[in-house]
Amino acid sequence: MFNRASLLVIAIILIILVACIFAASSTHSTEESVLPVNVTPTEVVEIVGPYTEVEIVKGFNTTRSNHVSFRSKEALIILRVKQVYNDTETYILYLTCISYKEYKDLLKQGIRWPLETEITIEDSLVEAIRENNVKVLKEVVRNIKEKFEEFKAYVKYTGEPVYLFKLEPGEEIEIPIVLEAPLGKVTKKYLFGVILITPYETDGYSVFGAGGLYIGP
Amino acid sequence: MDVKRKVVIVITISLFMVNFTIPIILALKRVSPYANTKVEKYKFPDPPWFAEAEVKAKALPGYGYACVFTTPMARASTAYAEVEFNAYPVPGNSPVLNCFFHITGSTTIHVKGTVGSQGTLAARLNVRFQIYDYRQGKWVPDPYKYGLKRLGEGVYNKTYKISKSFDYSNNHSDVDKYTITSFAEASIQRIGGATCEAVVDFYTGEYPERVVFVCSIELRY
Repeated sequence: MFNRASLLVIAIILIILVACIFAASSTHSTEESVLPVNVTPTEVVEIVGPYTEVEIVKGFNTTRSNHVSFRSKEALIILRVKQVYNDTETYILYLTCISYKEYKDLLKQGIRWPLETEITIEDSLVEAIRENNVKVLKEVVRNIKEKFEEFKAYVKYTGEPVYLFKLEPGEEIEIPIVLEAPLGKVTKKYLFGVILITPYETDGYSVFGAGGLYIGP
Repeated sequence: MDVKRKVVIVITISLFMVNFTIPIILALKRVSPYANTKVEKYKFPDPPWFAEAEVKAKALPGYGYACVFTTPMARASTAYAEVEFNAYPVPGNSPVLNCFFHITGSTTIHVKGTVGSQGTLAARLNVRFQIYDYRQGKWVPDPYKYGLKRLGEGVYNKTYKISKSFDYSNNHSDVDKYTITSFAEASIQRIGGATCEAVVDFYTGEYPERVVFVCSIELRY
């Protein structure tokens, strides 16, 4: 099919690429370090978050990156979630919000939103789901809603900013999220976040940032 | 088969190989050692009601160690201690990755110690990783890209390998490159008496390999 010259070109390219890989990997040889002698092997718990992606469907103007502004009173985004780990997992999805000014003020103090500010909400969500406690769930949903000042956000399926779902290995789903601004705009900049929690782990629980938007006037 | 067609096929195969090989090369080059840490301690309210937060930390190339200890003693108070590995990421001195559509952050963390709670007290140990973006000449934590394990009451001697893939394809043109940093945090809230004392080791690679690399940032391919 190919003449000798073509095969030779492919072979040369292959050799160069393999050489590059070896050259790159050889840089590790000087980067060794030795663990302390008192470290002993123990149980390894692997926690693999799902692959997530946020897609804007309608209702937003995009300025740069994931910075947006409302184009109408209702906007729709989709969260794509794919279970990449070879195990079935249950997730709690919740939505949260903070003004950009408050976010920056917290950051100046060394406090990172949302992972250091939403602990009480995440604790309560895990407790509510694990113990099937409707009272706690209603209370935490109320607290989450209070975080949204000029617009509200909810998962289309539930009408609430909380959603519980289970994913099989390799399964990919799309979760529609609605954002409603009664004025069709906001007066200041906000950070809107989508967060996933795995409530049924043996030691505590895990939290993953799933995506978000900077929503401005 | 005419010559032109052969040339097209050869070029196509070559491009195909390059397309798959460049990410592999970049992924292999991703990890470099670092040895910078930042230690933070907070006590709330101010002045604290006998709250204590102690941290000892050490970072060597490829390996980090943190001992975090917090005890609020009386009245309502919070003691909080945090160690950040790969603190103050510096271009050229941190493991970085340039502009790709999907990235995976991962870190392996060994926890040994006791998280003890009493009554309504809540002691907690968090171990986590955070993706930093290099935007407009400085490193900033991406508020949407992190993974954490929150440990409650218990005695621990386990290794946690935490990872997650993130999407950067959606108009992230203002991000030049990314890096990753790991954290150990101990905190106690509400009214005091609980303790949280833990030794946390950070490294990547399959525990307990003797050759380890702290924190990695990988391509998803």
